[in-house]
Amino acid sequence: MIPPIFQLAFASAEVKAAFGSNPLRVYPFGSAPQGVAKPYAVWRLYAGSPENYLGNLPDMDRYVLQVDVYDSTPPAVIAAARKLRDALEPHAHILAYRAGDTDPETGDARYSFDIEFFTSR
Amino acid sequence: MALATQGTELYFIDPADDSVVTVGCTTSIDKSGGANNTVESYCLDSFDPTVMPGTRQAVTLTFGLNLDPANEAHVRLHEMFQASPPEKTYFAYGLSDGTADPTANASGGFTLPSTRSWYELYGFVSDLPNSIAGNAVVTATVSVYCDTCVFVPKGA
Repeated sequence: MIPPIFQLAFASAEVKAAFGSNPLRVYPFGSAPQGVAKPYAVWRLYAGSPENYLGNLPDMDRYVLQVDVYDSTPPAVIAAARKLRDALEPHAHILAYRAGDTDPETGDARYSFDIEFFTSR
Repeated sequence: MALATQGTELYFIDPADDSVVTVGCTTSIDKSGGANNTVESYCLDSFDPTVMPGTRQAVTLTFGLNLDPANEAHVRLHEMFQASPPEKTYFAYGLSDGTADPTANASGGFTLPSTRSWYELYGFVSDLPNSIAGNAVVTATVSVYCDTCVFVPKGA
């Protein structure tokens, strides 16, 4: 039901060095606390489905996530996003990169990518 | 009443020991072929044909799998495909109007419970390609070339 993005991020020393470890600042969409330390990431499950079979229950789930990384400056956010990507990419294909932009309210830089997991139950 | 595809189960008789094997992880089942050939005859003075049924064509059963090397049925299907020559055996699929499993009878065929609708076929695994693509699971497609197909509705 939930993709293993947090567990995979937490297993990476590189990611923890950048995003912290207590807490690890990788949040479901809308759950990042106001004024949280940077960099931080939020992810949203925007598509997915079980591997459905005719005669038996699914044994695998597919999850497609949008991951947004925020930091103070464009170079910093790219470096942080690269660490998160490198931790996740051995386990799931990246489907898309999106050009960064700047949050109009906070002035933070954002870098976004989509990633697709196939996770055994 | 319409019948859901979820709950359809596929089985075959293992020609090595006449046991019933359940094929799990099927994503599709398609039966094709089996059409009746047609014969047209004309008298010299006739404009319209006189039609007659001819022979029947062979049936092909094709089913899709998410390939699982830990699934003994999937491994067995590969072995049956690669046998020289492949041995003929019985295949059957039960529709979702019941849940009973078939059993093997003494002559190497199926005993099909009357609490479920069935299609039963007799043939050999004629093709087994697979596909490995990015952003997907590993799939295989099994083709079984069959003599005929028998439909046994529930309660019959």
